[in-house]
Amino acid sequence: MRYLLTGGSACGKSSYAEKLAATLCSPRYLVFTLRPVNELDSGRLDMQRKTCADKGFQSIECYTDIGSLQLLERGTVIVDCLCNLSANELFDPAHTLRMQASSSARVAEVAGKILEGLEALERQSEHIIIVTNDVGSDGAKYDDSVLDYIRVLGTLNTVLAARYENVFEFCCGIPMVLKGELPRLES
Amino acid sequence: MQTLGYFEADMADAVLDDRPVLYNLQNIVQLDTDNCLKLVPALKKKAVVICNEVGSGIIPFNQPDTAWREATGRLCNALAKESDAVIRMVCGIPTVLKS
Repeated sequence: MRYLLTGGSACGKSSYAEKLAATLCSPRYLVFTLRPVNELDSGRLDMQRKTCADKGFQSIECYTDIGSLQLLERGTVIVDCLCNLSANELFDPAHTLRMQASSSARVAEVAGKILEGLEALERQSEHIIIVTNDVGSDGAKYDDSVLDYIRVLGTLNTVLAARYENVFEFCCGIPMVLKGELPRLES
Repeated sequence: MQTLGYFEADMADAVLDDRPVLYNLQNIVQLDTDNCLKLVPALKKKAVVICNEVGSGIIPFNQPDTAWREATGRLCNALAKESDAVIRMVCGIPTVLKS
């Protein structure tokens, strides 16, 4: 089964992903995509490693090229989260040529690469839970590179939501079903 | 708020006082993001707490704004656990998340 979990910052989607994964088959992998750049990020990464240790998840840190991951056994995989993965891919200094392409070509290339990567992960897993975010919902004006980022994530969310069986949006730690059915979890 | 039986005189704008309704909770969180969970006991005494969703959109580049979004989200998660009802308002339409 495939799950897409969306919502704003600190809305409870990652905690839910972990609770949900704990009810699905093992081994359980938590792919963390945040490349730490400040104290807040490092703290979050430490917390994530501790969560993995406490819950018996295998922690994997993957900043780009998610399609290159090789999972040893089929099980349940959480990818937390697409917003960091998209930013890492789009602004990857190893791909400066990408910045010379047109905006639409760049968005299509990055979104395509991530989607292919996730498909590769799906083929190796019984269950996949993807955590994403709603970065398009504010009123600020951004430069072109940030607009590309919003388009990449919007594309990923739309394509995955169409493909996956379950899509839940979170608010105040509470899931709302946009598609599929809410599994029964102990609170 | 009038549907729930409260009027303007009952509503405090980002101030913790004796009025039964508090709105713009996110503005109180912004004053001290590190200690926002300490607000839970005082907020539990309110009949209604209203908070804007501030966690969507591009994650801010500066750390205080990021911390504010996160703190507001975490406080709302904690309050929702303690609340009898959680209602999300979009376009004037209530969605009951918990009742």
